[in-house]
Amino acid sequence: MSQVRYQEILDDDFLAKIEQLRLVSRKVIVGRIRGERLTKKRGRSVEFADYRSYVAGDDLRFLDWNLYARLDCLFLKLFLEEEDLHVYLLVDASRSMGYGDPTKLDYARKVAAALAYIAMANYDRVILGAFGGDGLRLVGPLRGKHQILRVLDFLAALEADGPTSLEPVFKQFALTQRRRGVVVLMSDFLDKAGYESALRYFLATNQDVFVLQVLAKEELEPPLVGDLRLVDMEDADTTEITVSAPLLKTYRRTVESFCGALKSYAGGRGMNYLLASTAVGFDVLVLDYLRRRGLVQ
Amino acid sequence: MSLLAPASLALLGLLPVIVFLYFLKLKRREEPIASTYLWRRAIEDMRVNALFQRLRQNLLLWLQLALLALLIFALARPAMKVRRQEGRRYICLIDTSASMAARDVRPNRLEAAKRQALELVANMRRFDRMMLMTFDAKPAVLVPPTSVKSRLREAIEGITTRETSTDFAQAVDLIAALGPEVKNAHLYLLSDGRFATDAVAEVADVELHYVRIGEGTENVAITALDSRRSVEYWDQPQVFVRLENFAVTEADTRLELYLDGELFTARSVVVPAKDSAAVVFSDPGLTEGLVKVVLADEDDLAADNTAWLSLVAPRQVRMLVVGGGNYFLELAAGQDPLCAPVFVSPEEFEAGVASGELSLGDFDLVTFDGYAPGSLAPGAYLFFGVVPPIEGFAAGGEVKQPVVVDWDGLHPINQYVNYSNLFLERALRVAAPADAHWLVEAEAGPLILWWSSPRYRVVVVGFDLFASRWPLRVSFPVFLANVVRHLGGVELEGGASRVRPGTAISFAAPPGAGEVTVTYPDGATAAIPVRSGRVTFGDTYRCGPYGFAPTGVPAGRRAFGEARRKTYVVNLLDKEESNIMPRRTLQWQKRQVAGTLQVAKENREFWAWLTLLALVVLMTEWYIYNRRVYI
Repeated sequence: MSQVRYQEILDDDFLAKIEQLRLVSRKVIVGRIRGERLTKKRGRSVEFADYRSYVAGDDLRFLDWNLYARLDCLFLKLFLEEEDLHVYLLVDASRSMGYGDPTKLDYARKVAAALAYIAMANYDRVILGAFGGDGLRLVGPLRGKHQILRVLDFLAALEADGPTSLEPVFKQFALTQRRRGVVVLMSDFLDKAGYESALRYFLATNQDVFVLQVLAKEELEPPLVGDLRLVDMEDADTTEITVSAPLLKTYRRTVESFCGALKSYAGGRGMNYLLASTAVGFDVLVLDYLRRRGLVQ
Repeated sequence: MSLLAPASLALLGLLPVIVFLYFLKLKRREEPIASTYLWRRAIEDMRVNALFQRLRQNLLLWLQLALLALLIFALARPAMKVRRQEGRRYICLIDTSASMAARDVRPNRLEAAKRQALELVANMRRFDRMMLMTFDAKPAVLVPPTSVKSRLREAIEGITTRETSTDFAQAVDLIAALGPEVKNAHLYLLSDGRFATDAVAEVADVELHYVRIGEGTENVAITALDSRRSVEYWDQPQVFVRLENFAVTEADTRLELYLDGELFTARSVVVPAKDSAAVVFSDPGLTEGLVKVVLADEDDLAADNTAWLSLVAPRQVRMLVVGGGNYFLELAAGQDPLCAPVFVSPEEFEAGVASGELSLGDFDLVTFDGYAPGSLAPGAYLFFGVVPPIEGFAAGGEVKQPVVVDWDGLHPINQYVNYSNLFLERALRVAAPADAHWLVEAEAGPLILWWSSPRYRVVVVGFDLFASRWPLRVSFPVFLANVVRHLGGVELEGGASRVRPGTAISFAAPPGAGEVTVTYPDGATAAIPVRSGRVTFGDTYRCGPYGFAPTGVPAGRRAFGEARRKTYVVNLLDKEESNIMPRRTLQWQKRQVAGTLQVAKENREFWAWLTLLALVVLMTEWYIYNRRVYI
């Protein structure tokens, strides 16, 4: 796949729209650097969190004198600490993502760029990753809008290549990226070995996982007719079919079932799921769908 | 079950070809996709869920094979012996008489009848059988009972009218004679009903459907044509014509008379409605020739607007009388205006024959009175009191005072002759050939005989005239005049030469004539053989003059008066046929059957075509469903 220019990934109009957005996590997560995010860690912010009994050495400024007056006991106010968010954006760059018009990879590339920009604009820590024939490649952490070019460089250089093998990639990710954060998985999840064991690795990390299944409109509504020999783009596996109305009906039912099963699996394990079709513009996805799902606001 | 064309089964060899082509055409196009993972699951799902799905892939192939197999089996003509199914029986009887040429329905009534007959054929169902008949003066079966429609149609198209009267009774007799073939049959009579029905036989189990053809009655016809010569002015005949007007309005028409093809005279005639008028032509110059009378104005029926008559100038019969002088014989012969007698004695006769001055061939009739020559040349002879020298004839003694017991009053020679006062003193006992015909019979045997052969025509009077009082009776000259006219071949005022259409013409051929050439009214000719000295001709279905010219007659032969052309005329002259008003009802099996204007239409089902169309639609729907053809 040819090099994609920056402006084809994100144009100025779209950037203006997403300027005001921020990524949201259901779980307020502890980050290393004090960012603009409230974390469960007790810290010194204006937001009251809890009481604890006074012990010698505590800062007297945080004593709750009203409570002492009532209870004749000394209690210390605790406040939430403001911290930054780790945002992990993993893009599937296997050969199957090169299918469709626009390709699923193009689509995922744009969504990843948008989400990265939003996070970086809010000083969240972005780690961008891609997996395909060369295994898992990561770049980051990146912080601040001025680093967006590195994001775009990385995304532009992606080419659909290699088989889809989710489990070793997700396993490697889970072992190396220990910081909890928001993980957005952008893939078609068409792994013949299955996705269940791969996704299970995210349970152990207790990260806020968004499963964004990207499928081409040609995969959802195949425009196929006649007698065909279908060739798998990844492993060259072939299947001969004679397209007919009943077959197409069964195929659509199979796709629905597959997506439904993934949604059900993800939902049952505390992950968010969204099916993204390349028929829907990526800007609509970001500005509308993801907003409604609560990933951005 | 059997196969009537088993060789067609060899086409089953096409079945493998279909299979081969089916798989050959299955060129699959390669289509790269993201993953075959979901497609395999879908295919597996289809296979698991429906057994029919497995078959569906090749269903079209199986259907094509089944279609071809059925077609091939059909070509082999499978058949089974089954009890023969009986359909309805029809008899289509079409009137082809002269009145069916009427033009009140266009182009004429017969064509209208043929259209109705074709409608009948079209209405026939699968096992129905129809017999096609026509009738006019005689009935004819054109097509025996058949279910082959094309054969019936072809025969109907070829039917033409004939200028004859109508004899329905004969047609019914023919139908009745067919017996079980016509049991429970439906007889469709396509006619105008212009015929008598009182003498029609009863035919059980045949239902009559009378389809009335025609509607008009505008017709003026020649219904009678005759000529007479008076005894005094026998060289000036009178021609009588009767016209009948069958229309409801008076007819003012013009009657033209042609003589030998040239217009001779014409008269204006007014014929009252539903009445007749007579016209007599007796113009000078109208002596002999072929007379044709024509109604100049056209009407609905042309066949009765023309009639012919042959006027023959009376010709004297040259008669040689060989005898010893018989005053009465000489007187009777001499007084007959048509007889030119020559009297010779036996000695003069023998001397003349020996010297060659006298030739029997120069005479139309030779009378031997009391004398018989040793031999006879072919010809016509009258013998008085002697037997002819012809094998088979012999005199076996005499009979004293024979009494006349009977005579043949219908024979032309006996016309107007009364033998009751014939008294004889004696007579010969005449032995004659077995086929001789007695004209007068006595108790002892025949007194007067008539005999004919290819060479001879002989009347033998087996008694001497002077042995009786006969010469004093008026019957004797009448008898002699009849003999002169009958043996001399005199044409009787043209009356004998007129015949009705469809009746046979028969006459004696001149001796020596091998065949006769007939000339039809339209000028066509044909040769007719002479059999036993006679010519019989039956093809008289067109009105007009028919000329007969014998061939092979020796030159100079005047025996029977015929070495020249004989003309017969055929005229319709049928009042019943010319009254073209169609009958509304007909008598049939003791009841009146009303005529209908056309054959009743029947429902013709075409569900088979609709079923075939449904099959085509089903196959198209299948194709669209499977191939996702979008309009």
